[in-house]
Amino acid sequence: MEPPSSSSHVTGTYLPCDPSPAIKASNYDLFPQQTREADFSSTTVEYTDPSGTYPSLSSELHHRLPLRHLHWKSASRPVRTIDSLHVTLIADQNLLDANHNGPVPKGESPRKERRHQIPGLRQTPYLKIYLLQCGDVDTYRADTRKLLRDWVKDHTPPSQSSTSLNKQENHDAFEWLIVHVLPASAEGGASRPSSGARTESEKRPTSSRWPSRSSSSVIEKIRADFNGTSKNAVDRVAQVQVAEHPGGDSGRPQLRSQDDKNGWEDLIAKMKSLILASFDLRVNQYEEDIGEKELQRNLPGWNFNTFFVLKEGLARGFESVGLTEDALIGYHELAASLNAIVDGQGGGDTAEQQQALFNEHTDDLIEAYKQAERRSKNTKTLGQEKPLVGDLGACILNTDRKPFRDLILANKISSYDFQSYIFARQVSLLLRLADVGVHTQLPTSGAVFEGDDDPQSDVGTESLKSSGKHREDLIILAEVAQRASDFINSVATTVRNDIKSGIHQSGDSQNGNEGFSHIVHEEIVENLVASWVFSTSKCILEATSANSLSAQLDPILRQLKSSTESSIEDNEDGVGSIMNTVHRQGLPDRTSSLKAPASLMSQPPTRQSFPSVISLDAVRLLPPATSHPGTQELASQRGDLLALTRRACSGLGLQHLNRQGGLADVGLVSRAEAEAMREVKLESTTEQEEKQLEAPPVNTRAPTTAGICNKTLFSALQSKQDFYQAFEGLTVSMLASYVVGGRMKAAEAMTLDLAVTRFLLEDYEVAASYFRQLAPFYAKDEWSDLELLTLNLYAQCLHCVGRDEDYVRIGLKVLAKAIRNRAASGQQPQVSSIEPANACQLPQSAMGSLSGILSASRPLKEHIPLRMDDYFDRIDIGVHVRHSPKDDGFQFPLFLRSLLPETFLADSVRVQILSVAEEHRSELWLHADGRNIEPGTSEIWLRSNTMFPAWYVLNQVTILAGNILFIHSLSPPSDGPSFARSRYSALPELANRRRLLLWPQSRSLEARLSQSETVHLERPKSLVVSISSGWNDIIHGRLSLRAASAGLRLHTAQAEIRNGKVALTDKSQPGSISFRQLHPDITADIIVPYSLESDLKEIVVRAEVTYATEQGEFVYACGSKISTILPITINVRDAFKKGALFSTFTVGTAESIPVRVLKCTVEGNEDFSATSQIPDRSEHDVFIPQPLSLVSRIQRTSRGKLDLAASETVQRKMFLHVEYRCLNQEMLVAAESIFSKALAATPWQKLCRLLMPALLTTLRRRFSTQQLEVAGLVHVLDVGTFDDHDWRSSVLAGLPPDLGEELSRWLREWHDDHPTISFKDVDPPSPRQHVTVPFEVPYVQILHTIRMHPLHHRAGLRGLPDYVAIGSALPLRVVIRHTRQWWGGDIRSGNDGNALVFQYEVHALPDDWIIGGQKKGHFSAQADETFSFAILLLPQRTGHLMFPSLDIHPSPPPGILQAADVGHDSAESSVSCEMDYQQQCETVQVVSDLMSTTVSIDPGGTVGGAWVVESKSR
Amino acid sequence: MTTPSIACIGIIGKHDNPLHIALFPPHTNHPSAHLEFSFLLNASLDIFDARARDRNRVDQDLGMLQAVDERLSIWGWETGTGTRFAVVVDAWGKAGNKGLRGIADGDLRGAFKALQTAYIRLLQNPFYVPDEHTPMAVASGRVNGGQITSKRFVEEVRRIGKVWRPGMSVV
Repeated sequence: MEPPSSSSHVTGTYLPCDPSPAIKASNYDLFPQQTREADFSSTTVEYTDPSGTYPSLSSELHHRLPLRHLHWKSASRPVRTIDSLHVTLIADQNLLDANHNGPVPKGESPRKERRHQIPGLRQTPYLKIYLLQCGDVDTYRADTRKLLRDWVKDHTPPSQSSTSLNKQENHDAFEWLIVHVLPASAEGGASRPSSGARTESEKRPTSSRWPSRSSSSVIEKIRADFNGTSKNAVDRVAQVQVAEHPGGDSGRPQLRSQDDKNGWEDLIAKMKSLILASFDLRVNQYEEDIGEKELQRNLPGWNFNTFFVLKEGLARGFESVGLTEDALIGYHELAASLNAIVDGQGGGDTAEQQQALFNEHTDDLIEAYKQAERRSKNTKTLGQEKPLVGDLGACILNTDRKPFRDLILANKISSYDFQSYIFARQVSLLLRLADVGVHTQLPTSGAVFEGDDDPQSDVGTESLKSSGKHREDLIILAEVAQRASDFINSVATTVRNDIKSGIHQSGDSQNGNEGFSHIVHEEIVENLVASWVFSTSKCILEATSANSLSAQLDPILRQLKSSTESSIEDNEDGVGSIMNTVHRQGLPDRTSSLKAPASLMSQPPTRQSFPSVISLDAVRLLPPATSHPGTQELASQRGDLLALTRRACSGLGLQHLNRQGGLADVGLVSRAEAEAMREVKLESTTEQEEKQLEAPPVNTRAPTTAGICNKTLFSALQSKQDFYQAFEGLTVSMLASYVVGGRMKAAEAMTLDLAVTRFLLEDYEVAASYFRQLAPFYAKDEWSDLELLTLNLYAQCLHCVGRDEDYVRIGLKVLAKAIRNRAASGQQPQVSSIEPANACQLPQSAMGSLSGILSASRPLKEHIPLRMDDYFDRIDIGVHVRHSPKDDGFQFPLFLRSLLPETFLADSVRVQILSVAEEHRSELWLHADGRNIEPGTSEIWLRSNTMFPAWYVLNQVTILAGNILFIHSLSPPSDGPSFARSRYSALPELANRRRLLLWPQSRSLEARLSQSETVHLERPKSLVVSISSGWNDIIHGRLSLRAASAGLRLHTAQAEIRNGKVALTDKSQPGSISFRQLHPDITADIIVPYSLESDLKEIVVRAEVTYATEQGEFVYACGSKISTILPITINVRDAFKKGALFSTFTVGTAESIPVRVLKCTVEGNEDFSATSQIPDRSEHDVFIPQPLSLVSRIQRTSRGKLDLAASETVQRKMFLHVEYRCLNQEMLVAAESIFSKALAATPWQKLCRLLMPALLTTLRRRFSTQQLEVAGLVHVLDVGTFDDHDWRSSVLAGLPPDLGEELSRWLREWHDDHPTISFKDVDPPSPRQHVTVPFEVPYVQILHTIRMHPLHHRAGLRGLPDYVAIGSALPLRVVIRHTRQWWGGDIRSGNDGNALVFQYEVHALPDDWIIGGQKKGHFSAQADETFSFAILLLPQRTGHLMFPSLDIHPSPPPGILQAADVGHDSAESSVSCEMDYQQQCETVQVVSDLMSTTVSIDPGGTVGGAWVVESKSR
Repeated sequence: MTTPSIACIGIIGKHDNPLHIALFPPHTNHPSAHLEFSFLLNASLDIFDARARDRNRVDQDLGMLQAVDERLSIWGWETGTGTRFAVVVDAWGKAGNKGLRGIADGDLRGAFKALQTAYIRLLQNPFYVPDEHTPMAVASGRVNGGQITSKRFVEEVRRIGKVWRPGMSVV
């Protein structure tokens, strides 16, 4: 219970309603203001209390207020429920006055006189209550009734008086109510009224609602008098009972009787219904008026202000009964139409019309401007100015700072004021909706702004207090913030226009210095606008801060701040306090700053434990807040507001310090100071930068800060450092807001800004840690420009920190990305050429640091491999080789387009080329050292001293600069171990690449590999490597041989020189032979034996000659396929005779290549002699069907006939020497010789090493068996035509086109001239090839000579029968005799001269002969002992029949058989027999038995025919 | 009389990847404008996402996403396939006239529709494969940058940006 107040004003709300003296003193008080705007949230009820009963009533009444659960039914709306209706009770001024000065005559109220024609701005009471205290009926009849009648007459709402039709009155429609107050004393209060009541009840028991109450008579009377007579008349009379001592305890009302309660309830119900009734009237009236005005909108002279007043009146009506949403809708509509009008004003279409409505400028703003201008004139220097102008933005929510409604009514309001008024109203309504109570005039500024000594800044600052911690509606707060940012953005323009128009009106007369003042004006205006934006945003931020939000923001902020602060304190002393300020400002957290300011601001324990990187991670990982609906929206909108703040700050920063924070500064710094930063040491950079910054860049005049009203903003502009700290503080707040708001991308952007700020503050460590985490974020979605920027700055940070390796890596990545971006943007058909340049503007600064990257890479320990394709373009090799004029080296160009922005020194450029041929896959490295590679296309001549003639393609390019290795590789990356041979097998595209033909110069060193001409079958085969020195005077050299076939072993240690023109020095290294001093034009043949594990037809050997001349060291490499097959075959057949052995040698061709045998000798030895059959100089051609046979007679020499000593053995080995030429060799040599002769006369001589192999290869390929045979017969080679040779693909394609064209012409001619080549007498002749075939004289112990003597009567000339008739027997004596002459003389042969037992068997074909006599038999014979036996042959058919054959085997003696059974096996057991069968090829003619036959032919005979007359047998 | 003009048009793929960004005077002259607008567009993607989550949305026109400051504001449009058009409007117009106001809600509709038409035409182009304009495709090295390179489309965007005036229903 409130104590009884002596004041006549007691309110139902908690708000003081004393009219502000300042407002009272203003000039605009058209009528006395009864209430403040804040009271619009309640309805007013006026009471007239002539008898002074109110104090006794008030406590009871307040106890029942506010009114609850009102239901308003309206025709045009659904039912609205008003949960609670605050009621403000005010006393009737007139009555008070009347009490003092006597009653005022009705209708002459000064208030009515001065009432404005447009209604709606008054907070007139909805209900007027007459508090009647009247003890009994008599008193009532005597005095009170009249008083009441007067009052009622005075206060009858016009709507109810039938006489008044003034519609305007309905805007103030009210109801009246008479309350009869029954005083009840604490002790006997009940008795007095009860007696009265009883009497009353007796009188009018039926009509009374309170039959037990004594005062019913009075109340009944009143009812009868004032309630009207009609049935539906409203009951306007109520009666309550009050205690006489209202100061009693609060428990008293509960002790009341039920009746009493009923009385109060009745009063409250009546109040409700009456208030609603008048409210309904008013709403209807307003809506009607509004509708009318709305219709007139397009008429000329339509006044928005009038419309506004009406509409606002309605909205206020809604507000006052608690229908905040409806009120809001009204205000929203108003705001929209106002904006439309203001926009229209800007558009100028109806400017003149509208300008009449609004003042062009606002006095406050102009005043602020003038103040600022004065200040800027007084003190020119930056830093001495103090912001003394009132902060306009900070009080934006205060609707009391000006009598806005009066201004509106007076058509004197400016559009700025108008907009801000509506906005403030909207915000206050929204805040009310959000259940954030409005709390006026708390001195919050001191808590929020440190050391606030600005008296004006807190004038309008309203601080809001949430009515409950968890009841804040964050969604609505978010809407507030969102509306605020719209408002700020649109009204900033209004502010600017406002001030400008104000200046133009007032400022023309002030000064003459137009140009200067114009600039100053502009600046001041901009300052004012920025400052306004800044302060307004701050104000809204404070208004929208919510507890639950700050609970989420705080941890993030704390982490972020701890990181930034700690680093700041590390780096720069003395700025921590400013940071504190900034942070606190960035966190306008009202609640925490009020309740626990210390805990938030100082966190020494956590500061150390949060390194910046970790804290950033924590921010990133923070899940978006889901606890409170609307938190995200609110945080996000607040972030946007903060962004506005920051942009205002940035704009001013740009103007004053040439710094706007964030990215734009990076461009400034990097452009202006890039060089300085690189060359100057890090410590001194700060000074440098300061100096450069202090110098005003363009203007000679320092920009004025006049007009910056906000203290924080002002202090932020004092220096660059301050600015950055303020900027960072804001950024931190934004970051936190965006994180909570779930706007991760915006949060990342903020992180970037933080990083950039750190970067600009030269806190590179922290910046680098930020950047490192940022880069992947932008890389993810292909925001390549942003990624590039991030990386670029990251690289610069790393550079400054001195982390060279990371710097190099990132820097190169930046370069690659920049290049890629440029390429991508180059693809785009941009119309304007400016754009790509702009896009790459920032990266340029990093791209300028290529040399820095390179130099930074030098101290690194290892190479950094990079893909060359990212940095270079169009990498290719030239296809035409240029030979060195004086040595064996050669060159060709590497073409590439460097995309790098500047020239750099490539320490080495190396190119690997790969030969195309499948079998001899070879790699060559070419190099060029110390080349400067300029941006754009460049041609680098690469040199190599290594010659391996073949077709090549480019395989790999590496460029080494510093420690950076650019690699361009065309072969697929080898993953895992792979076999050397299959390494390039997966290169099907190899054939499609550009080819390069390498060939040696005509006079360069040459090495040829061939099979040795001399083959000795007993000895290992060998290769011949013939090295022709050409023009080289070789100091020393080395031949390396490498077997490329499986199972091939090269015995280089046994290599030797054939012709002795060079000395071999070192053969100890396997596969390598060193030699010394080879003079020019000398050919040295080195013979290298080899062996094969398996039988290969051809072997592949690669040779590499490394040789040093005075010009340097060179390498010649070649690989050859060498056939190991002998071109000839040799067969031997032996025939033993008693005196000699006749060996028949058959020489054939092995590979269908005709061979010319030049010489064939059999070399005897000391035991045997042989006759050589083919002498030298007689040639024999051997073809496939025509082998060469020669017979050699081998005899024992005289020594051989002797018995040798026991120690000696008979030398049986003999050698067959064959010298021959292969026809193909011959032909090739002939072709080579003729071709080179033809070449010698032409300029193509230099190409002979290219052309010759091509020609020979083609010819060799063309050889076929038939062709070879023909050529062998006619000694003419068919060369083929130009087209057959396919010169174009083999040679000409590798030459420059013009040269190739000429050459092809020449070749064509040559081919025309030489369709065939005769190789009959070739000079020089092709080398003779020599084969030495060892063979042994067969080891024969016993040679039987068999003779057969026919025992016939008709012996022929040689003792053989001429013929034998069939049927007649041919007796035959077989004479066998054997010699042991070939047995040899050694003891081990067992030739002891004893008789040996043989067995013989006669074989004959049964068709030919029937053999009579003993066909088989044994005989024993000694050497030269004759054994004979006879057989009888019966011929079976006619013809020449061969003699039967005879087999003779040594018959093993029984002892030997036994020995053989036992297991002894000796040479004796295998006594070999050969037979010299002398009748071998002889035949016997067998004829028929008839000698003559007589045939009679008698044609005349009866029988006819012919018949044998007689025949005569032999 | 200058009017608000388009400062920047950004076509952003459904993977949040930029497909095309076009700047318009006077912002083309500023050295770091491209980057700044890229940041603006990138940060606006959050709001795109937030608007896209709004189930009540039926229109492709997302309205104003964010008022950057009194001068610039970002407006959004999302096609049915998730491609996003963001237009940054410069309230001060090409001449940088500071007194100008922003634009109203439906003012950009014409521009957005024209952009969508242009984009549909681009999709009809058989040589334009949308799948090659995704971060995945770029990462796999199949294409050289995910930007739209169609000359016709770029031209059309440029034309729209230049021609648009507040209140144009057909651009």
